[in-house]
Amino acid sequence: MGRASASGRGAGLEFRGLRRSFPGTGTVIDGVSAGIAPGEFVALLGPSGCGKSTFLRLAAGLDRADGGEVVLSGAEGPLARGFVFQDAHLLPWRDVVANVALPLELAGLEKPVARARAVEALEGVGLGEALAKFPGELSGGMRMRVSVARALVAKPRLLLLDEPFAALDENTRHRLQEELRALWRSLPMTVLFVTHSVSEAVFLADRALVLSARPSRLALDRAIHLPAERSSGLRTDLAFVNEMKAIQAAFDRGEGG
Amino acid sequence: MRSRIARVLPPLLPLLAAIGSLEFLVRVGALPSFLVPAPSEVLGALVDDRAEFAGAAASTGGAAFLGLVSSFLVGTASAVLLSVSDFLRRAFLPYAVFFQTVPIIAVAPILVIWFGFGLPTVVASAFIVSLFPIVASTLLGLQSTDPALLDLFRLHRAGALAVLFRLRLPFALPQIFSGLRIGSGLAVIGAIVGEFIAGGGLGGVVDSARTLQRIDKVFAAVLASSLLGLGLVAIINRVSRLSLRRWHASERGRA
Repeated sequence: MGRASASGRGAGLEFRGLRRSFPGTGTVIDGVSAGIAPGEFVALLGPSGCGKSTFLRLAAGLDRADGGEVVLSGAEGPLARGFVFQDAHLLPWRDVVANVALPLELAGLEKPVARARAVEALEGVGLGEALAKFPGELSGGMRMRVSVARALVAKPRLLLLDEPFAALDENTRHRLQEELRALWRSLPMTVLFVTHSVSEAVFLADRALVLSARPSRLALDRAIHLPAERSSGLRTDLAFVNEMKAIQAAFDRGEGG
Repeated sequence: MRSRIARVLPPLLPLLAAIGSLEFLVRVGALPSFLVPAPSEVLGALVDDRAEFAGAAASTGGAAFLGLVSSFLVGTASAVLLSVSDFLRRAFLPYAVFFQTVPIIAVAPILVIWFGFGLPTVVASAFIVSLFPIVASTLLGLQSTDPALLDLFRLHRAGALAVLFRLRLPFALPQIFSGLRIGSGLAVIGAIVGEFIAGGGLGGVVDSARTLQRIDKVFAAVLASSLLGLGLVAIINRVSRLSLRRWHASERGRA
């Protein structure tokens, strides 16, 4: 959390008594309040079906709450928010550069400008070699990198990710986690990362929010005390395991109730 | 080279066998040649009257193509309208389905009354039979847009036109082509049915050869019409391959 107070250039996000229900499913989110400071990296955890994705859609402004409100500060305009989905969800008829340039084009930027910035974003995720490729020609890990570049191309103040690495193999997943953490440290943005993996949350985030099973409430709000700079050696560190234990315990409690 | 032979040979064998045995059965008199002409006679009719057949095929092909293009334009526009509004879909889709069940052979005389003996009737007939599959298939494609991508467009506040032209329509391309593929075969059928009533083209050749008891010429015209249908499908396939080869699984890995 040290960096958060120092920078303060990302978006601030606050959930106030958030409630959401769906016809047929009933109440999914049952009164959740939490604040996320500008520049924080927060992981949102919970058992499957607990409404993590709903939560993220509410934060993105893609869904409306039935009660309570989402207050977003410092993230105005069509390019202030970036979103990474569970799968890459690229446009198969656009090459890699055109896919990444898409948000800028939709916001009305000139095509050459948008393309130049897309190339820059792709180089940032290590895909400078694959610019002219089409999504169908890439591996799953590369597609997800393109997806991350697309979310970052507009330098968003708020980055929302919905279990983006869940479908990847472990090596690729670990590498992308390290890269995402490094990217966040170099950019002025707030990150809300949804995952069901405790180890992923601990490795990436500075704070974990754990939701209980549906109808979900906040089961735990805990700062993760690990060094800001994180490398793969950390995963076997005792401090890392202890952080995991604390979160896993809340996870298990939440699943019961 | 060997793989090409391996691919072409299996479907060719039954064809050659059928043609050979048909020729044999007619030659030895087991089949009366006024009911089933020998393949050599059919080919002879095609060659002897090649000018007439070429003109007729061009006329039928042109009408079918015009009908298909009209279906494509009208069908795509209607599918777009139906896809944006629940109300429009509920109001008009039942009639589109009803429209499809009306047999074209029964409608053709009405078309002659409206459009007279000639090309407009034939084009209208091709248009009517090829319209529905194009509407249905395009609509299905437009409605199956990836919801995550719709979210992405909304997140960046894309306008309705951007959503249509940059997301929904390109996403529907494979289904649009499959509608066109079905529609192209039907357009040839529609054109020939129209020509039965309105005259001209291969339909007209079938009709007049029938009254003249020229069974070989009837068969030759039938053969020419299926070749025409195949040709139209081949054109659609070519365009489909060119536009989808980089991205769609159905066209990837093909030449």
